[in-house]
Amino acid sequence: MSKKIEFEDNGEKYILEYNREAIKLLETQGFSVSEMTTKPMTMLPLAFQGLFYKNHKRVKNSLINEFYDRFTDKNKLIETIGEMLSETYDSLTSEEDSDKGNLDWKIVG
Amino acid sequence: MEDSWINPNKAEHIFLSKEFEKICPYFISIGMTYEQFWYEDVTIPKYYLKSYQIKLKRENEIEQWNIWKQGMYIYEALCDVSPVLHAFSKKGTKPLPYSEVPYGMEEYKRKIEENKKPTKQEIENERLKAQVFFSNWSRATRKHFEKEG
Repeated sequence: MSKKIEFEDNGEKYILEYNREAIKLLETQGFSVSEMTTKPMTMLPLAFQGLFYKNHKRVKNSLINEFYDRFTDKNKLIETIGEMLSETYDSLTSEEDSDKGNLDWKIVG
Repeated sequence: MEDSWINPNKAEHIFLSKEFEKICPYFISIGMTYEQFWYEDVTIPKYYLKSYQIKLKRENEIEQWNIWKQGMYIYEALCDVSPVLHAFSKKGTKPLPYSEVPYGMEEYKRKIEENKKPTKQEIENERLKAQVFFSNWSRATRKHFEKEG
């Protein structure tokens, strides 16, 4: 199962996740995964909007933007969205192949 | 300005949707539907890929066993025909009979034998056997009653 973000607002439960169609749609609107680090202020809200496409298509952009503003721990959000985006691509390759030549690393000090 | 190894202007744009479009036909070819690929859980392709690898492995194993079995049939055929291939074999030498049924299908041999119609010679043999049995039996019975009488 893919990674999901869940939250509740005004008694309504939201389950945010991507599908490939959402990524396609995002990219037609100017989203670029390679610009996530160079233009985070533009790309992150767009990526956040894309999370609603699969399960909550009818939610208005204004409400999505409001949710975005109210979301705490933006760093964690960026990290999670990054993982969710890479999942859409990583799941197209076999695990065995992706493990080849990987280096383990750790934080010291 | 100091040269930076990170140059945002030179950064290559990666469009995931282009990659998805490129790879989508492959996943459809291994059994996924268009809807599953584009609209459903993004991790589904991983399972299709894994199951396809299992399927390929199984097919490869079956193929190897079939090739091996074919080798066995050829080997057996050569062994069966070898008596007549001998340069100094006696006149009238015949090849050994080849297996009547494939390996592992011996039950069919029994069925074939059950359904086989007896030859005229076999019918005659059976008739003679029955005749001998009954004549022996009648002789024995007659002797038995003669003793008692």
